Amino acid sequence: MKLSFTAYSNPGNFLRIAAKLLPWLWGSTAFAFALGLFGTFAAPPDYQQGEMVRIMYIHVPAAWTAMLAYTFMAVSALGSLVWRHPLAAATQKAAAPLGAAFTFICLVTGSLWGKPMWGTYWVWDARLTSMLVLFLIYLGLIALWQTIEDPSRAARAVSIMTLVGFINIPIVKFSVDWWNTLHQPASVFRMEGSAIAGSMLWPLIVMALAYTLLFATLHVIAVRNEIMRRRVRRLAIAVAVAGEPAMARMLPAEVAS
Amino acid sequence: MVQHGAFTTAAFLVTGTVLAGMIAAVLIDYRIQLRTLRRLRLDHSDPRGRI
Repeated sequence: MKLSFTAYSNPGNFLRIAAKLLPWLWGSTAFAFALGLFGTFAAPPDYQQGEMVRIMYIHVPAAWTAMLAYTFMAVSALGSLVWRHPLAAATQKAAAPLGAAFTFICLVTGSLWGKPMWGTYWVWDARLTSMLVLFLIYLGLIALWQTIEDPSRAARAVSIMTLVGFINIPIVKFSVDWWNTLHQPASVFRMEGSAIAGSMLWPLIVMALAYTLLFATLHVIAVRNEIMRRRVRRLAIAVAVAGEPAMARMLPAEVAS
Repeated sequence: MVQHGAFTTAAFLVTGTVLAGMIAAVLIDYRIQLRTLRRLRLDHSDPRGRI
């Protein structure tokens, strides 16, 4: 059986696969969130942080998903620049707002944890600052997509910027090792093994899985939206060429989208 | 042991709101694109499925 890479890069095939995949993705996301939230509130309180430790179960997975989304965007940027993969630009564009939202959750929940634990909402330490830089990079990339009208030119510019910005991902990850930070060092993915007790680790892993599944689900829908948006653009041009102003058939919200 | 219920509640509320907002945004965008495609007549669609 010959499996063609380009067959799956066809947007029509993607839409068919997405339609079959989405109910399973929604179901597994809901199940993972239900299990993860149960574990979050069933886990014992921390001996120092008390109940405040429960913020960890929504903060840490958000940080991991934010970095995962950016890594995914960087791979898509490579696909867009090097292989001219037809779906790469769409996947890259669709991932940016989702990644920005997860980064926002990470920053806000971290800040709300920091006030009672550290006595301040914010410090300019390396981990917090690099995470803020990641958020600003996401916003910059979203703005760049909107700035350039021609999608192929926008994709090229955004791909280059995405790859340049990828340098920030190892900085976020290793900032707690490279610099003396107020933020605690890595406690799950360590050479010496996890420093977290099993009863607190499993809800964290399940919540990370839930966030990842939610990202995957929303990303598939967002890519589908992007494919449809480009079809709308082509159809609007075709209708306009036929002599009828396409905008006349569209509502203001549709024109803006 | 430290107890700060308001901060924990706020963190969960913000997270829930943002996640719900993300879900609503992609679903509303889907409805808008679908409706626009229909308005632009589906008989213009490209059978090759190009972007």
